[in-house]
Amino acid sequence: MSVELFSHVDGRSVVATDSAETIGSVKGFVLDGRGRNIEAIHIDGHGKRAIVLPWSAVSSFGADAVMASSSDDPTTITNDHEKSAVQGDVTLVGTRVLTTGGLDIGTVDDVEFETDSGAVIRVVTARGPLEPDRFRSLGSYALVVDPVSESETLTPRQLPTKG
Amino acid sequence: MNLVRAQDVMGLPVVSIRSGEDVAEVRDVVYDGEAHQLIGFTLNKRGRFAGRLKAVLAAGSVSAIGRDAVMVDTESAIDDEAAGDADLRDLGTARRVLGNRVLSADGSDLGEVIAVILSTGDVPCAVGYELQTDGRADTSFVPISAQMALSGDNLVLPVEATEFIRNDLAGFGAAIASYRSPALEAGQ
Amino acid sequence: MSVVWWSVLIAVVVAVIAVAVYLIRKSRRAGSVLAARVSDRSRP
Repeated sequence: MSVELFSHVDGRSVVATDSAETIGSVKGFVLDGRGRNIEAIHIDGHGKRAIVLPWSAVSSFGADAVMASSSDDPTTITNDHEKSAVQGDVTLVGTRVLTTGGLDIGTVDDVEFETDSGAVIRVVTARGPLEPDRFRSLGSYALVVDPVSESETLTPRQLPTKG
Repeated sequence: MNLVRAQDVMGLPVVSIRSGEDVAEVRDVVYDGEAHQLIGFTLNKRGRFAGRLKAVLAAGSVSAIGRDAVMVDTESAIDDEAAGDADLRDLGTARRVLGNRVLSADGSDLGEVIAVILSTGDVPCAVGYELQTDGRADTSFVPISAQMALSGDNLVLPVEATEFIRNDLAGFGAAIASYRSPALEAGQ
Repeated sequence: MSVVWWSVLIAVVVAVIAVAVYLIRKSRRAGSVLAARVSDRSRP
């Protein structure tokens, strides 16, 4: 079991164990609706013609290559959720983080995940890490999270700072 | 008590907690001119060139009003059809507030309304006005009350209200607490 | 009339139209703070 960062695995080769062919490289990730688990890896192509490898077909996420069980496993994207992910509309890295109270608490800079399960361990932001148990949803506008500390529940431009 | 200027909420995205999508943007902020609670928001579509959205957002469907977004539980919180939103759809009789000239009941000109102060707790409501008085650089705050008639051109303050005008936020918070009329309490 | 002169003129006209469209769209989206349910009272 090991932990990797999205930034670190970007571009890593994806190889099929049955044919030894390189079937793609890590271009991005398709996550679940809450941003807590990897559903698939975007390994080739763009937009509607993108090719993704479902996480269940990853036999081993190695330090130098991602091994797919079979060269038949990659599929074209089948739904809007995957399409938004491969187009970059719904991604973890670079997304703003918004609390359920309506406060923007920064941007996701990187993501730590567990290579066996594909589970997100934490996301890295300038203000500090955020744990997935706080994640409410991942959409094209924001990763919505439950607030944790006092500083995340203070509302609006507290008067009279806005001039 | 979390206070915000109503115009700071205009233009904020409306974001669904369930989906993480920005489903709309706040256009008008509508509050009850007599009882002062927030009625809701009219909406624009997202995007600099996009137009009005037919749907409206009633105050009861708002999960939170924050500095950077108005949060709703699900995308269905913004409503195309509901009957209960008559006040948000037929705004013909609603009065504009910003820019009203402020007069005390004895006829003195106290300035101009430059902001409506909202409290954003469980029951959001308008709690005061911010005034710009001619010839003064700083602004002042006056707590809202039932006796303040608003026409769209003028806001008339009862004479007692002028004692509660404050120049700073802390003083304003205290003034809201102390300036309680029976009508105000009944309305809230 | 030189080609350069015409190109500049067209570019300026396009820019002015673009700015005008942007400002019109922006004002159409402008909201206000409104007080509703204010009954018309007749004053003594």
